[in-house]
Amino acid sequence: MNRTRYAPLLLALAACAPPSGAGSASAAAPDSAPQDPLAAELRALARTQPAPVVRRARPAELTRRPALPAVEAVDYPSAGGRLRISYAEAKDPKFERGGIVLRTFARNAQRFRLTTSDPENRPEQVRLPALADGHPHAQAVQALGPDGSFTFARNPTAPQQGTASVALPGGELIVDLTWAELIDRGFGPTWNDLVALGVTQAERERMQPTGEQVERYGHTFEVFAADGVELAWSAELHLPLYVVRPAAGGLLERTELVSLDFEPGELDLKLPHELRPEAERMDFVDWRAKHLLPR
Amino acid sequence: MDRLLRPLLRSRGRVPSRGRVQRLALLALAPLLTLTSCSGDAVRASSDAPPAPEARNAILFVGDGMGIATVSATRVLSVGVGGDLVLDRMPFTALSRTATTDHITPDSAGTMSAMITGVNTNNGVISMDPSTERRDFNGDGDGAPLTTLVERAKAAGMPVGIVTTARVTHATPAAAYGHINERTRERELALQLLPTDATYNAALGDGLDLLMGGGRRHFLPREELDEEGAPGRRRDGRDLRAEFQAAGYHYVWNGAGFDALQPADLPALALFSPSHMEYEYDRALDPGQEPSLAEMTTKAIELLEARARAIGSARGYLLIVESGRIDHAHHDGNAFRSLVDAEQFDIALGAALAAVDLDETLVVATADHSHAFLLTGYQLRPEGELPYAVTRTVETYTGAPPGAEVLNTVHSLSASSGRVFQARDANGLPYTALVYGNGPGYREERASPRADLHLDLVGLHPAGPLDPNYVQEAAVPRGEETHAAEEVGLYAIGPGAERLRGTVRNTFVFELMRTALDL
Repeated sequence: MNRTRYAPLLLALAACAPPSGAGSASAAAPDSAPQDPLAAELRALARTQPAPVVRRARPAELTRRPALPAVEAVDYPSAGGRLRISYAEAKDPKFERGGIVLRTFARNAQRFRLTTSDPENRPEQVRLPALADGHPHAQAVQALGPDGSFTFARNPTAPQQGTASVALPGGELIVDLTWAELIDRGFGPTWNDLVALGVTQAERERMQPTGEQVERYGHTFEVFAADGVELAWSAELHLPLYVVRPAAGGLLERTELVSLDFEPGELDLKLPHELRPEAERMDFVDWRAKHLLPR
Repeated sequence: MDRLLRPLLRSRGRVPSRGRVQRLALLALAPLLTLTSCSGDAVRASSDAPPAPEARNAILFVGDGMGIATVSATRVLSVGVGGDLVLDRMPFTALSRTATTDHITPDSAGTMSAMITGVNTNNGVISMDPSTERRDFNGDGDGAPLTTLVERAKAAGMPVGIVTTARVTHATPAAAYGHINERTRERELALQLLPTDATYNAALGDGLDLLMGGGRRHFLPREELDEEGAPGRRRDGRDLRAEFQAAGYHYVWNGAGFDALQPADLPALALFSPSHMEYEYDRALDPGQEPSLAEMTTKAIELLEARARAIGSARGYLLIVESGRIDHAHHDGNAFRSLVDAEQFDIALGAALAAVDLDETLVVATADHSHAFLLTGYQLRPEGELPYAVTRTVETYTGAPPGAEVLNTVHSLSASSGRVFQARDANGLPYTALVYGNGPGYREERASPRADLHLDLVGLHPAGPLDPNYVQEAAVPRGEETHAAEEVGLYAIGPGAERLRGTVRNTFVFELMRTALDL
């Protein structure tokens, strides 16, 4: 820039603060040079329609989320339930990392009410990002109400189970579950419970019984396997017990459900570390126990 | 300056001389030179008759959380790194500073309050002055409510509409019409919209003319289920859907009702979802077949324009459009949905520009704040865009479909051999170009993104970094990714847009629009 030629402009700029707050725009009104052809050109530029934008064509899977697979509904009685979780290690940094993930056992659950016994340390947020196989986030991020409660409404057209990830600074979390109906939770083609344990659709379809059985919590779990992935499943409870799959470093990753004393309408769960203090590695990002075993 | 202006004018079909560009540059700054006292008092020529407003209509687009990196990544996804978004074709731009009066890193309540009132305030506070503490935590009482652009427009007789993909009572839309010291008091904010309620915001005159978005749950009692079977949240037993209709509003809740909306239906309230509307990527699965942001925008323009014409005023309408869920997907660490929503924001902006007369409509687009989101690594352009032939490549590079390269692991070029290779970190592991500074994508131990067992957005193991549900890696473990503090882009076109330049505070959005509308 020619400093001599633009000296008046630079002086004026130096003397004037940039338009950075209330009242500044009115000071910058353009009416001061309405007759100047170049000012008029700038104003015309502001009124010129931009050229159309040409967007790229993306593959369908990156354009629209695929439709949900159909799920067959069967009759179950309406029921209510309560999930009580104690979390004594309030300062466990792993809680701060991501809290725990609660997965309802009631697919198509309509409401979740989360409360805490410690209002001073109530969960600050509830995330419901994971409705496996289905509607990904009927609610994404919700703040709890002033009383520490949170009610979550599932989208009734999303017939899979929901999960609630709760940041837990301390205290006790109580989850009341009420649901209008349950969808078939059997060992059928959808296996929705298993999705949350990381079992893919393809793995589900390939799995065959091994004949092995595991006794746990007073129940019998049959073992199924395919492609190195092993699953223990209770036909009685319609619940998985664990999934074992190959992991990096020549290890096996074991993801285990930690359900105790299951009765229809009521679930009492304890955190994985209370069940398995001997575990080599646990992941508290969700309520499932994850640990690595020698292959 | 001339280097900046010449390409701009050339893109408009003009190739100015160097001298002409220099004069143009001078004139771009001329308004400052005319301000002998640097105050606005001397600007307007005296006249007996009030001059017509510079802009008859104004539209404010807010991409919630749409920071610069989000715009850049959206460009790659939507039009390619060499292409132009509608945002890129806005002729006047500035950087907008976003800090609130109490936070370096802001939230949507504070920033939208600043943009819509011209006065900066505190995080969490909805259009109340900065002596208002969030929730009045120190018990000294609230400060004064701030006058919003919406209230000024209503006082001037302009029809006003608000369109959002978030809940209509969420912070950004709420700051346009409400005043409260806590953004989460959404049930109370819903009442401030209802003309027949005792807590109605009387500064809205006869009320908003059009309100479209999500958030039905704050409009019906917790004992009742809404049209999609979801329960309400209100504890006062009131069904505001019915009360709005009793107050003269036309109410719709799904795509069919939206399609049928006519100008005569205004004032209208459209609540398409119990909570936020769907992400654009998931929208086709919505049971109510909710409209897209672009569809809502063009419909709003059509309805408000007709309403303004029917009133017969020289003034037109004010419309505020928020893409609310760019922010939400970022908070969940899922870049893909954020970028698709940002793309939809850009599509809606383009649709608006095509629908309005830019001789009389000022259109401003910006973000309220940024996110801890980055497009990093020395990512190579797709092979077809390279200005040279590479000697060898890899499937992970060539296999990325158009638009997906921004999601991919970083690929670079060996300058010695001309080979494309997948870049690796110090431990030999590939990494994605998109990362977060914090959030749910933290991995205690890094793994290759193609063999990563970190749960994705829907609770599954992702198929890889191109999986739409992939949760990008984050440096700091947090349940929710956070906002970021850097400036955001501010873009404008239409009457008065030429005032935009430099680095401004976000309160300038208010001044820009208020001045153009002469409110």
